[in-house]
Amino acid sequence: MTERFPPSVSLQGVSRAFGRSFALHRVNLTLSSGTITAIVGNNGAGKSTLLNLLATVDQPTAGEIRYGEHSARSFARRGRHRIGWVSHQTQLYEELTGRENLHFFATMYGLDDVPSRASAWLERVGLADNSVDRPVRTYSRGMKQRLTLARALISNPQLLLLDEPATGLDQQASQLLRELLDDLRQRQRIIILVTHNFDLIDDLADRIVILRRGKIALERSLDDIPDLMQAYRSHA
Amino acid sequence: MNEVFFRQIKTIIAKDLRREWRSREILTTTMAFAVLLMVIFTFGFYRHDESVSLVFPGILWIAIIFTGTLAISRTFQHERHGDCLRALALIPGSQFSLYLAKFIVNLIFMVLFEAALFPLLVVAFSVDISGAVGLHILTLAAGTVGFAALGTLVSAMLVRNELREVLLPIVLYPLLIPLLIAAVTVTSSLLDGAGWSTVGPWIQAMIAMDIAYALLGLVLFRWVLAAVE
Repeated sequence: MTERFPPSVSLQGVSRAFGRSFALHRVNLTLSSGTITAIVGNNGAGKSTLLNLLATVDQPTAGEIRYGEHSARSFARRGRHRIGWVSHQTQLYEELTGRENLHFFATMYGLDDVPSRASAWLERVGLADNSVDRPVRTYSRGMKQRLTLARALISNPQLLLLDEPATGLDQQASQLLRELLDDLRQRQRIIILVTHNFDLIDDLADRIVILRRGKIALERSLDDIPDLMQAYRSHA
Repeated sequence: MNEVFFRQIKTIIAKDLRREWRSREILTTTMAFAVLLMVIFTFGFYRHDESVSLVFPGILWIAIIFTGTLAISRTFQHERHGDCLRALALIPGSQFSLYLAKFIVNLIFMVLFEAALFPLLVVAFSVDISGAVGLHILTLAAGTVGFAALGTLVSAMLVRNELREVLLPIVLYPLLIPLLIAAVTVTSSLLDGAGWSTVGPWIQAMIAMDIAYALLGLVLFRWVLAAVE
């Protein structure tokens, strides 16, 4: 997919059923570039299923997801490499060092100038000390999360799917994450933020979607919600 | 097939070998298992008479298949930890490079343990292979390539299955029967003094099976990866 990345991703009547139960049920949603959309909901509300569908690693049982003019199938074939995904698992090789992990993924993406790119990202996420040459299995949760962010962003993705990206991050790293996401928003990325961290949502998100039992219970601009916690308690 | 594709293959192979060098997980266990099998088979089936040519081919190939299964079952497990398989699935073209790289990695591990196992079994059973060393090596190579090609595919199919350790041999071995029949027949014939005129067609059949298994792996791996991601 050499053309410009679609300015929006839209879900039209999307359902995902597992047997007789629906993880998502008739979801209509439009995600726009330059916008951070926070997805919240209780456990089992369908947040992870929604991310899997957006990442094209799962298919809806009904409805359609469109990436601009592309169907999900066509996008999966041609545009997947433009998705950056921070899932609830690190997606890192524990026996390799932090630097080796970034080199591996950058090379797999066919990027040029791998060593300098990797060094730049390691510095950006605050891992430019000796730890980058230690195996990842020796890292703390927060260090792994920083490296995970670097791994997801090294390919310069246009669609970012972030599942609890602040997990394990200390105050400094949390601030770094905010700066990173703000920068990506200004560079017109489509950013989906699944989190229970309401401070992060309050600071960063433009829109919030509250999922309840696979359905959208509330979808609104954050400017229109005076009390985020109250809205969550009422709708989740 | 472009430069990125070959770089991906090289990168995955280098990553797996580096990982193995640091953990020594696969080679240590397969080597120990191979030696253990050799000891058990030697005590159980050793013969002083000429009937050794009857039992040796079966023992050799059973040892290769059992030990190979142990190695092959591990190569995709590393991708499952931390859900790296999903990260790879988002990378364009990775389904082909991943299959070929894992196939080559499995081949490397198998060649390494076979390099220890085969001479040990030959010595333990006092088998004379001096007349056809080249043909024995060709047979081993043809059997190993087919096993690795099919084993890589089946191992990927089962990567997310909780019963994968049990299911791998159950699914893999029946599919390997034609290759195993040919391998055992060739090894047995070579021990009986047969030459290329006798074993040639069998070895050619094995190479044809290798190509078929590898093509099957390349074609099906895309769907296998889509199903397990």
